[in-house]
Amino acid sequence: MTSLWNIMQAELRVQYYWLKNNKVMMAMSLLWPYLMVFIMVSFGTAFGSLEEFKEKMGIASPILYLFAGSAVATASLSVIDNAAGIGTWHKWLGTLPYVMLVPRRFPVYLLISSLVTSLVQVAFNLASIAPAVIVLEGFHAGLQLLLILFFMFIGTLPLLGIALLGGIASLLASEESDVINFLNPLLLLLSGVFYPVKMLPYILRVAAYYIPTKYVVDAAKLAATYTTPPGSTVMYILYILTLLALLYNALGLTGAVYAEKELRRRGVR
Amino acid sequence: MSGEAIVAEDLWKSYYKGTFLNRRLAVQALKGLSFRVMKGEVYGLLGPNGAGKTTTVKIISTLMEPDKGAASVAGYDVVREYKEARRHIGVMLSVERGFFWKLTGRENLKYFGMLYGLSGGELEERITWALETVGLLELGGDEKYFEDMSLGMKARLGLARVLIKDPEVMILDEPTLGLDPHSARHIRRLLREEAGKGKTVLVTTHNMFEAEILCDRIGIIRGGRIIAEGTPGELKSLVSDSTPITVVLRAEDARAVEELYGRLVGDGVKGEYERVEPGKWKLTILAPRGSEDDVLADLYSTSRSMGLRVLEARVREPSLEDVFIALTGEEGS
Repeated sequence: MTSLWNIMQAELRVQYYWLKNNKVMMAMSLLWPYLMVFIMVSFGTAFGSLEEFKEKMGIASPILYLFAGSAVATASLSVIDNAAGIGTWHKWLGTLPYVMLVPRRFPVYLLISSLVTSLVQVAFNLASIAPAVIVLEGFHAGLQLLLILFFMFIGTLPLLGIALLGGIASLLASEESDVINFLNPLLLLLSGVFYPVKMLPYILRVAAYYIPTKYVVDAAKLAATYTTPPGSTVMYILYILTLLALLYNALGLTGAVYAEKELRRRGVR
Repeated sequence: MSGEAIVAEDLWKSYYKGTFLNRRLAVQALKGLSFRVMKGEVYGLLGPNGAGKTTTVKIISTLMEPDKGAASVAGYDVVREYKEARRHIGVMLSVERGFFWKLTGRENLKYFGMLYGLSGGELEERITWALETVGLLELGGDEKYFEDMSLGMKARLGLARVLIKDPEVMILDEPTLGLDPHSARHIRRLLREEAGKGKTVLVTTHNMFEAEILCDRIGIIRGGRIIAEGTPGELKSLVSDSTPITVVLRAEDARAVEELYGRLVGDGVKGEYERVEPGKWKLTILAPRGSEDDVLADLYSTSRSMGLRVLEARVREPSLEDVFIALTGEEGS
């Protein structure tokens, strides 16, 4: 019988092979967070000087924030892309019938597979910026990254639910691409990684409270401001992320159960 | 009932197109299809394209639910107990796809092996054994990316994925389609060996030769139903009242061949024709026993009058292909 651990092992293994056998892609993925830093700096200059940027964003260490924020942004995009695209990816390859033949419910496979892929992406993104942060800001800043990594992992969970819904929509619509790609720019805007959320129009400010990445960005700001972030704020972020994770994953799994039934009615291709 | 590995009972399946508001019937793929496969048997579903073979395979593989009817594999209902059924089946759907392009044969098998519940030393052993059994180790397929493999190697890898599970029931949809004769022969031999070990094999094909030498029993499927079933010998006896005549003729114009064919068939005479090479055609005619001389005389006189040249005309023993033509071919088409 296939255990959850079997599925996790298989997905970890395929991620490893994928990176090992696609070295140029791996190199580009390592560079991606640095490209995002440039984008963020470009947006930052819209505020004027670096001091003004620090003040408006409410952070003490702009370097740490820029790199951590970049990792958060790229990881969030990766999670959405990978988890939402996992079904269409298998469809392209022709592997969808074979992963559906795993003797578990398809939603279980989808969730575990998406989770592993996403966590690998998160760790990968953070690992890519760690050397730059340590060189520019010192070893202590490197330790601060661990706190950010923790929040990024937690922040991945509610994103998974959103991505699952997107992945299911793509599969059921028989589309050849991830149909929620258009959400990515909105996700970045509402996360507050470029502009502080408080500067957004009211309707976007309200929407931002339902975006998990906003809370991970908040955590990155905390790490870039305090040596020891206030416990109550950390707990508040954890609490919100947990609630969102429960909400979005309940929706995502309900959708996946429906998707499995619908796919089997139509016939898996 | 003990001894039955696969049971399909009155399966119906329709495909629809359009959206929810404009949903309309596209094709009725299965119309009450039934068959049973005994344990250790190689059963072939033989039929033309669009007959319902792949739909049947998908239902038996738990990848599709029938609209009506029931099916079970290894005693498990494929709809209600699909998770249990999946533990007992190994499936090969397409030769060309179904693997990660940028992973080697061994890496691909590791991934799927883990997904199917294998791990550690047992997984390594089974992968090496499967690669060796399908002949991929000697071809270097274990270290080759899937994208760099020949079609024959891809098919062997697909079979290796089935074998690593060590399933009771093997379900294969046209496993030798497009393969070179050597690879096709290798796969057929392997399937026979697995059946010899007690495995049940369900295979679809439209290759008569393959069905005849591979299968213990064959179900001829047409229009979503099994229209004849039996051993190759039993099926051949269905056309014992007919004599097959193979005709090879030279003709540049397809319309002339069509016209000749149209004049020959009818009144109990059935058949089909195909172009074997540019300017060369093969006609297979099933003549009622005793009327062979009349049909041949008719053939020669008609072709002469039409300016077509008969290169060869041979009266022979019935083959499975003749059964197929008799059962699935329209008179005069």
